[in-house]
Amino acid sequence: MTVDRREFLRRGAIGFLGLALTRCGYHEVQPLVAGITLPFLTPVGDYYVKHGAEGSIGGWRMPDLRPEGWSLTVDGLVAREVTLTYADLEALPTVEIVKTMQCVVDSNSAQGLVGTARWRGVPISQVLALAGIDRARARRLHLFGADGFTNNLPLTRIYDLDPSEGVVEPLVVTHMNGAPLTREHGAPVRLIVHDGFGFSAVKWLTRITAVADERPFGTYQDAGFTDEHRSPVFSRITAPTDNLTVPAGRVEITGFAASGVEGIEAVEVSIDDGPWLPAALADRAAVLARHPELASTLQFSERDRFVWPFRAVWALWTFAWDASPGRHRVRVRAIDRTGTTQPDRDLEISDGVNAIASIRVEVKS
Amino acid sequence: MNRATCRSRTPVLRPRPWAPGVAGLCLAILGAVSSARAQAWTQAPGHVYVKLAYGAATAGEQYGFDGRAKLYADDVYAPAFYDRSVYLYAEAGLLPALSASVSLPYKRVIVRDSAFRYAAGALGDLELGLRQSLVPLGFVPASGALAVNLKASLPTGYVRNTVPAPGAGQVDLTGSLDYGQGFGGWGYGQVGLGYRVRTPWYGLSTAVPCQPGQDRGCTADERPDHGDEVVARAELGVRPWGPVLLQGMGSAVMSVAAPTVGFAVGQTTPTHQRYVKAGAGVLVEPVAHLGLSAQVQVTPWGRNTVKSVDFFFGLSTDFDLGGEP
Repeated sequence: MTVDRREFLRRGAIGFLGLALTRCGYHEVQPLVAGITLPFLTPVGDYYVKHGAEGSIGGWRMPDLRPEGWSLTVDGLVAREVTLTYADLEALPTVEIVKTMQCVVDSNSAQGLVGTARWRGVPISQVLALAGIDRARARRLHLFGADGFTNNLPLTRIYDLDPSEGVVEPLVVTHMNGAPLTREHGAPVRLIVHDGFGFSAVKWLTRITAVADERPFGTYQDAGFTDEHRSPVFSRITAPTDNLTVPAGRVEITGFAASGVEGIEAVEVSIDDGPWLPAALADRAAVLARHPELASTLQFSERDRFVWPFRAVWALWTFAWDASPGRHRVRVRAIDRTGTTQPDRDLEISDGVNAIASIRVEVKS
Repeated sequence: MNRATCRSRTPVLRPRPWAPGVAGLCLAILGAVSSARAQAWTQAPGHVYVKLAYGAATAGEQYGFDGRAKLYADDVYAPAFYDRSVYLYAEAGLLPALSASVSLPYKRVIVRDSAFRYAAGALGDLELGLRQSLVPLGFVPASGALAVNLKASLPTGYVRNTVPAPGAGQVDLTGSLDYGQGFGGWGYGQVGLGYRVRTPWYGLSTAVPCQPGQDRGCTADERPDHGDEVVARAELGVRPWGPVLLQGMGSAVMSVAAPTVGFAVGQTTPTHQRYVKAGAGVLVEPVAHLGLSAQVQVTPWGRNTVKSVDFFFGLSTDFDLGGEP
């Protein structure tokens, strides 16, 4: 078979240029669910699991520790190095808090890495007291998980808290939602930092070292993430989902907002860059009626100390929208009680800051 | 020219060149240059080979950076990665020992997580290649072929920072040495070893800064540092009957630096990955100058890569160019 050379080259060039110039690209995001139904308390089985060391430590394996074989060593700048067994820990008084945990990775990129649970544990100051922290020299605690994950905690986050600010000191936790921790969530013992990101909550905690070094320390810090553990104000829309088509008329927009710095003051919604309108926040009594087990938590039991909506606990919200046909942009922002709200833009994935959330909704008549 | 005369002109069975994407569709998605086949033989001057191939790669699992297989997307107990792409490939003999090739795919990539389905389509890497036969140097055994292959992969069509990105977005340069051996009229074997430089040149890709709050999963115009890779391939072809060629093939891509950071649904282009592909195929030539091919490949081993099953179907032809050069 023979083809004319000139004709082949001519047609080939035209065809190739046509393909190259067409650039017939597209990008679609389709929701597979109409919306995410959020109970105030997240069941353990639905709670997000993200192992901070899994993506950064070669040969990582999830620890499989049993209470009888677990121990926690407290050393460094201490009066005496101590090693606690699980029984030792159980002998100490415990408290239970409710806390929303979110991954420090920008939630715009990591949808779903957030959840709320009851956490029961021993205030970390009681554990440290057994070893006698050298308060004059020690500045931070270096925290070690059995999987190799590390993090740090400034001592000011333990000893310099103002009880009136609605924050609880970090807990050495053994129970989640009333049951012993599961392996995926750090059994038998993990840390929970009330106002902190998920990466603050070191799982499979086995060692605490008091150090004078004030520099950032930890697996995530080494990867470039922030050393600021408190999660700033953020909000999300859970329904409708992005790019969803809904019928015209009343559409209930729902979502959540939280801040580790203070409680949520308000949540506001804007349609098509219009004015910011207030959303309705879930009522304390209604939440407690639906989840009576929350009554045992510190925040619900000490009403004078903890103002609703609680700091570091999500505030569920709803907004009634009279949707007209067309394509609309829905935005949400939260404001905490310090007056801080979310920025319009945030291009940095590792700072824990989340920009104003936005979705597109198609409304059909 | 009928098939009999064609065979009489090439007494030693030579494998047909396959479209680059045929060798590893999902691998191209992951930023790797596809490994072309039959790269030890050059085309005769003025001879052109053209192939149109369709590839379908599917995966429900990925290999983590430590080699453990896990779900491709959390909580999705079903296929969550799909690559459905079309490849146009052409190869022509320029001189008695020099061939050139060009390949342009149209990539369609779909991934899903537990809540969303993400789809992207775009022109993929434009691949330009040169193949210089070393047979004229004289030391290659009879019925053997030895060639140096140089290839540039240019991300002319990519929009890198969508989810999923249909490519890594940077220029890759690959050099390889390929040896092939014909076994009389019944088969051939071929092995190749190469090195891929994954350059930091992003100038050709259509990466754009993200629109905060609008582009899900797009946070910035990221330009990750993709690591260089060693590539290897082996292939065996057996012709049990005139128009039918059976093929077995294997390939490996090994990043020089060990994979240390995993990848997620929204990050389908890991900076470092290692994998082995193994597969089998059949090529049928019902009439002269027409080839119909089908292949399947699996991923039995990997680090930081998609554990996919890949199917490829191709339609090929070849002809001589006439007229003035």
